[in-house]
Amino acid sequence: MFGDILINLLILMGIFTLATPLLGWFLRRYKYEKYLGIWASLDFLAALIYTFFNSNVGNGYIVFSYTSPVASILRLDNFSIFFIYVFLIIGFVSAVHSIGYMSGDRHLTGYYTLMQTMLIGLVGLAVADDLFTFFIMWEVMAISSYVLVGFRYHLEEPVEAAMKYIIMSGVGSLLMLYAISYVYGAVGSLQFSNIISYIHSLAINKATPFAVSALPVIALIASLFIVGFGIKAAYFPFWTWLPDAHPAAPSPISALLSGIVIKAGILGLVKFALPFIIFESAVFSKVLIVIAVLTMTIANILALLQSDIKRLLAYSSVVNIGFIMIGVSVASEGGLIQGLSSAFTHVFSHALGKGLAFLAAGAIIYSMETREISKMEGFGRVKPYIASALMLALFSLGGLPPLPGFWSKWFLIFSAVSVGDWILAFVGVLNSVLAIIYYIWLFQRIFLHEPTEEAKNGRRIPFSIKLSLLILSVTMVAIGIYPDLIYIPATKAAEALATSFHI
Amino acid sequence: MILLITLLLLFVGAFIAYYSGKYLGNKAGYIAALFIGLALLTFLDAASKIVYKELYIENYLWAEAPHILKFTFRLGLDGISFAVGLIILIVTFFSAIYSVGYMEHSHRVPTYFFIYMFYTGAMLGTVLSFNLIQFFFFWEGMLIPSYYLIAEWGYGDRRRVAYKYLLYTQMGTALLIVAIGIIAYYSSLYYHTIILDIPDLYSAVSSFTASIKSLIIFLMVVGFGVKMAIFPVHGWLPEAHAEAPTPISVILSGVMIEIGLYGLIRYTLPLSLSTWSTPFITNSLLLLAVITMFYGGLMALTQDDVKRLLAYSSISQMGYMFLGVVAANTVSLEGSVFHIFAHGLLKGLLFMVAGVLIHVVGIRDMRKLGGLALKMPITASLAMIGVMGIAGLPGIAAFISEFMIFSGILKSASNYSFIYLFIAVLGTAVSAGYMTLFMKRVFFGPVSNEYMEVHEPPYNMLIPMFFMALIAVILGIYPSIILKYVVPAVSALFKGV
Repeated sequence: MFGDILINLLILMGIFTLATPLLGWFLRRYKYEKYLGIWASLDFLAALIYTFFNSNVGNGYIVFSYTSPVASILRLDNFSIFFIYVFLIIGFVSAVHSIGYMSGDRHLTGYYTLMQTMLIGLVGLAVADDLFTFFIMWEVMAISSYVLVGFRYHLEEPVEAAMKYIIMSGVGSLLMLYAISYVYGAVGSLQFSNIISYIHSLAINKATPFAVSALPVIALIASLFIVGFGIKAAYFPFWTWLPDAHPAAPSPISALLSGIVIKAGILGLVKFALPFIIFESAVFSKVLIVIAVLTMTIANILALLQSDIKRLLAYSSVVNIGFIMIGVSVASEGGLIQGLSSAFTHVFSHALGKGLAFLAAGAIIYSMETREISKMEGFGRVKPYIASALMLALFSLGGLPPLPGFWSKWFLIFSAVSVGDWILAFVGVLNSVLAIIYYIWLFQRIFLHEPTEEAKNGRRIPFSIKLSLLILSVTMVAIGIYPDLIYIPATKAAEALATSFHI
Repeated sequence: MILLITLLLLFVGAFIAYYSGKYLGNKAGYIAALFIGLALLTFLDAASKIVYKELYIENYLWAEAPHILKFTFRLGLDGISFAVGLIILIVTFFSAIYSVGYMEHSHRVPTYFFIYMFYTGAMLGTVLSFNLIQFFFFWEGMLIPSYYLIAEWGYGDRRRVAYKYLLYTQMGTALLIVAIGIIAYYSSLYYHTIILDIPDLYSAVSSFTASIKSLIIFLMVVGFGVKMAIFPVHGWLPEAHAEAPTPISVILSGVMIEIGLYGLIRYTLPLSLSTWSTPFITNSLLLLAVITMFYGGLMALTQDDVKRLLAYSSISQMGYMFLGVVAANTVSLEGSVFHIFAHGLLKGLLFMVAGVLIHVVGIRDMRKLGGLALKMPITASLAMIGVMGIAGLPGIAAFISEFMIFSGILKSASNYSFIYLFIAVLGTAVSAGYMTLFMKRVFFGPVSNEYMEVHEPPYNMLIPMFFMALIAVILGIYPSIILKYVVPAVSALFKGV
């Protein structure tokens, strides 16, 4: 049992995390607390390298199983490997970015400890194979993220945003728990494989009276899951916390939240809710389509109105969740592998793009100490490389080649067409054009205007911030030129998940 | 390998031009021109591969995600892409040298050449792509560089103009991507694999139903039409081409809008020829082409700004090329491809003349100009060649191509082809009208006292103009240099369908 890949990974990250407070206590005595970020990034880098050398998992296998009294199962397959990669890459660059960005803050020991706990929670979500473990990992991730949003508790905005986030996300967790209890009542177990076989048995007996009486339960579970995961994933109409919480957090945390934490909602949705949704696909795939269309369109229009760079990026995150929902709704309509792999491709490309966008915006904010776009005018003329990183990210999010966003959006549109969803494809394309409007508007403000005084007199940007931007930019260009780097893991992940659905 | 080297030379040259620009300033343009020149040489070398066979193709591994998506990075060369690729390289080569003189008082010149090279590379990439998604990849890749070149180094209300250009084009590309999605989906439905490679694409799409093909035609004509500035969707062109920095106007008008036409020739016409040549579609598209032609010509007659006149003239000329494609037979299509070549040279030349006016005289309003032929005789003579060419006089390349387009119209599927021919020939009179008016108002008449100090532009601006004019004249006398590549390729295009 022990000595296995996944256990080692979690133990590795756990040891690093546990050592963080001790090390922080030691470093603080010598006023070196800010270098704790190196420790955190080493944690994620080690985990990333470890995953890289052990990523050949074949068809997947159960690595840890403890079935009595409540089951706790961890399973490793290509699906979890894919999400572990996404989480760790963004976690690593955010930690590197934090070294410079957070150097002026206090309580950094708590900051880095929470960051690592959050990542443990996320990695746990990727491998949890039963709803019990999933819920625990979910709360590990969520509680850390609440505190991180409100990390600068001496300011008003982060505390308010964190409160809003806690309340909404708490309701989400509650609904999820409610759904889980219904699952336990209906299935008699929380294991993923048992849930799947239960749904299959229902599908076979769909005509019998017993099964029919079970159907409302399925619908109830599916809707509770859609709402519960939806609050975390921040799609329509549950996204209201996101534009407050993401800008209020420190920039590396915004990158983590927008890059990967909202993807945890997608992960839960596709793994645990999708079987129920597919079973009732006549109704729920329509629901998902409506969610996708409204999320994209409304968030895009709202993004057009923003004057705060991080709020703009936060709304853009909502838009991109809408894009991912295109893939998920395609998956629920019958194009399972295509829908899932296009959604996963966009998960990856959006994680990279939005991670880079928030980190680069963080660099600008670090330099100028403002979030107002009107004050950042001409920043690109003063520090062209930093601003170029931001633009690279925005162009990728806007779907321009040669960047990953182009490949993922193309794939999404293709998968929407492939199930005959013309409207979805057109709305997706139109929204991607609409997004270009404000990205280019931002580009004009930052690159083409004459620099403001604040921009000229900005602070020097530390090396660690530059390094984090460089790593992500190079990754993005490499993927843009050679898209197989995301297509292959994403399709493998989709196939692994589809196989575990037995469909 | 040789086509990949040609492309890579341009992208590598971008970085070298940028870093050398830090030391050389605007002379980095020579470095840029050197790399484009090297690319030109390797490209001409590649042309030897298509002398005895119609098609030369290079395949590289690109995206091969299992079962779902499969693209190869496929570079190809046939007569059509050779002609269009050659004119891209020639125009950008001369325009780079011209930029050295033109950009001498400009700011951030290294960045200018960096983006210039990327723009060139992306344009050549579109033409060499023999895979629809790869074509789209480069097609989008030309957008941001051209946008940035206009927005940063342009004139007047440049940011708004560039923004408008970008949004227009982006709407067009949105339709294109849907068309590509449709093709990908139906090919995977019929053949269980996504077919986007040429020439397999042609046979694959030809088995689709007529309604799907009509939808593809609609999406692609509008999508490419935005870039080509066909009549109802031309709104961005007059402003963008007029306000761009002149070496970029040369490229925009000379070659970039023609890439839209190239896309139509390569990806729309052969896919759907049978649907395309139904009388309804042919008639409506012919009508659009003729309206574009007249609209551009008449608007050009009324302009006072030199560059706006030339921009409207580009719309009008695009009408000719579109006419040739709509008529959809070998002669007219050869004419269109050759007109891309001729128009690239001539309109490039005329924009360079306009740039000389801006650079040397500092005025582009024709109401204030006049009599400059006395002060700058060489420029005036070169301008005369351009004017005669656009007006369609024999002896210059555009005459041949226009003649071929006109003779092709009669073979089109339209019942009214005689009427269209008649109107189109009338259009040439309009072209001659605005071009001679341009010549008269700028170069002839009495010279006012303000312009006594005006002199010829520096050699690095004059020499590119001279060579552009020379090539146009040589091709006017002996068009077969290019047509010998184009003709077999066009007939292969029709044969393959």
